[in-house]
Amino acid sequence: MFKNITLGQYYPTDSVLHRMDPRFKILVAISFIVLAFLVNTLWGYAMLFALLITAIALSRVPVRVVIRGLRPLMFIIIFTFVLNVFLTRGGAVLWHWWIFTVTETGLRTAVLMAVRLCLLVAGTSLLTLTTAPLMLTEGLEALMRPLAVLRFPAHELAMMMTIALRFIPTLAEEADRIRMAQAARGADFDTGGPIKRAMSLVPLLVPLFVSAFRRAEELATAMEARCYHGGEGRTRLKVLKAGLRDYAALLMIAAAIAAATVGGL
Amino acid sequence: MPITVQNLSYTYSENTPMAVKALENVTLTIHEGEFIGIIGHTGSGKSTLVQHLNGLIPVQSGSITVDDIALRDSYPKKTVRTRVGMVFQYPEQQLFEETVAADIAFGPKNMGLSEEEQNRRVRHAMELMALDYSAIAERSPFELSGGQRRRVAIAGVLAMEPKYLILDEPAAGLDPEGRRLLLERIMGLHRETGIAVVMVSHSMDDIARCAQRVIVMEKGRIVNIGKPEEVFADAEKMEQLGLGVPTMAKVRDRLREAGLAVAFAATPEKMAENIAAALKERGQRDV
Repeated sequence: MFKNITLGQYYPTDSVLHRMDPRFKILVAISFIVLAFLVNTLWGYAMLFALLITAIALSRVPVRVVIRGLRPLMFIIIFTFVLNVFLTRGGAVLWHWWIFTVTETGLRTAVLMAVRLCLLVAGTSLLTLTTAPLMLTEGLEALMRPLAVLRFPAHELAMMMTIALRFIPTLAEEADRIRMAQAARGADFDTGGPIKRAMSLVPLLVPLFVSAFRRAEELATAMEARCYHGGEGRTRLKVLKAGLRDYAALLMIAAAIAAATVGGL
Repeated sequence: MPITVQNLSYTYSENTPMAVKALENVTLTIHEGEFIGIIGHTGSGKSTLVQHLNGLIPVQSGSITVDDIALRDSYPKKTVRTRVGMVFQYPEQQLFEETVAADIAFGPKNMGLSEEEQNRRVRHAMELMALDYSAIAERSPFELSGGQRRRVAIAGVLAMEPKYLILDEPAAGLDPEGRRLLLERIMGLHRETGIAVVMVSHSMDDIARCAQRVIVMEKGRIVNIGKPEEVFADAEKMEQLGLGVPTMAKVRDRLREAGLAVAFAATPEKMAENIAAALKERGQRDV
């Protein structure tokens, strides 16, 4: 029941994109999102599309896996499409029935918005597909470090994320074991109305919380025993190092942004 | 009627690249009132085997019957789980109710018993596990000591009044004294109520002491089955499996090397008797 949890959606393989410095990958992904909101012309969309296709090709992630990532957001995409089609007015009337009117501008905006959303989701999921969760937190920490001036707890946040990621499989396993133990005492998790089902989770959740707190305490002791005292002055075993490909990717996305703003795409 | 397991095989994550064979062609009968010990390494399939016995893991291939109920298709799950009580490793981690009595009553409540009957069973189960009802029934299980908590958890299973009791590493993580007390209580329980016990353990000494029949598992198969003195007679084979033998079997082997043939016994007391008998026999022969 809990054993099949997949963490994020990391797709392990070896590619230029997988080897990229996570800091740069995050920056490029953010730039891509900004870019998706900047472009307004067909040429602009073509450019976005070309960038995405290139990235997917370089990542060696199968296209169907990227498309699968769109599925959870399909509802929102269709919803905005329908709203835009019927609520945006302007230009020639294409179709009219009772209170529903579809205009040229409306259809155009709706299609472009749907395409924009798809590009956005595909672009960002490419980041999580090619970056292991731990690398992602490491990249985030490095990028947030300058915010420490504003007393923003970058290291603490990253450490919390790392620990949470580390313990998800452990807790899932434990939940499975407790579920079996209570089932052996005749607990029934699958039948009855919503209230009865919610109540049936109590024998599962209480022991799970108790053990999570115990683990947290043990982990804290173990970390302190090894002189952990927060992020200050802490060095890394593997230092992130940007290479040629990282700067090249950043340069490319910067050029695209320049084309969109100055070039008016 | 017994529990019969026939040609049972099980593969985790079947039909995926992560598939792991956990059981292969296991055949076994557990008789009423019997005390069986199962030993084997981590990953030898002990836990997978015992989790099959009350239907927590559905049968993939082979068959299991509990008394007259075959565990396949739609069978009365609750009846089977009531008849075969299962105590997991570190069972105290599954306690969740506000009071000890309420936690022990969880099983009987799920069985749909009346409140009076629930109460009777709670008292009886606590008595069987040597827990003082008036002192701790209304306390929170989280206030108790580790050993007490474990006994409360076992009482929670006993309150369902099973015919067969399965214990997966019941003494793990207890100090030597707690270990001795718990095992003695389990043996007492077996003697007094006639319940069948299946005990999974790493400890050769515990198994040798308690079990009437020993099952040795390795890589999902049963590699040896028999009375403790038979199974532990072949020290070499046990060493090959990386399992070792109980301390008393070592004593026996050292004495044999020194020229005194002694029969195996599980406890130091019985062993002392055997040694005395062997010495006496030799004395008579020499005279």
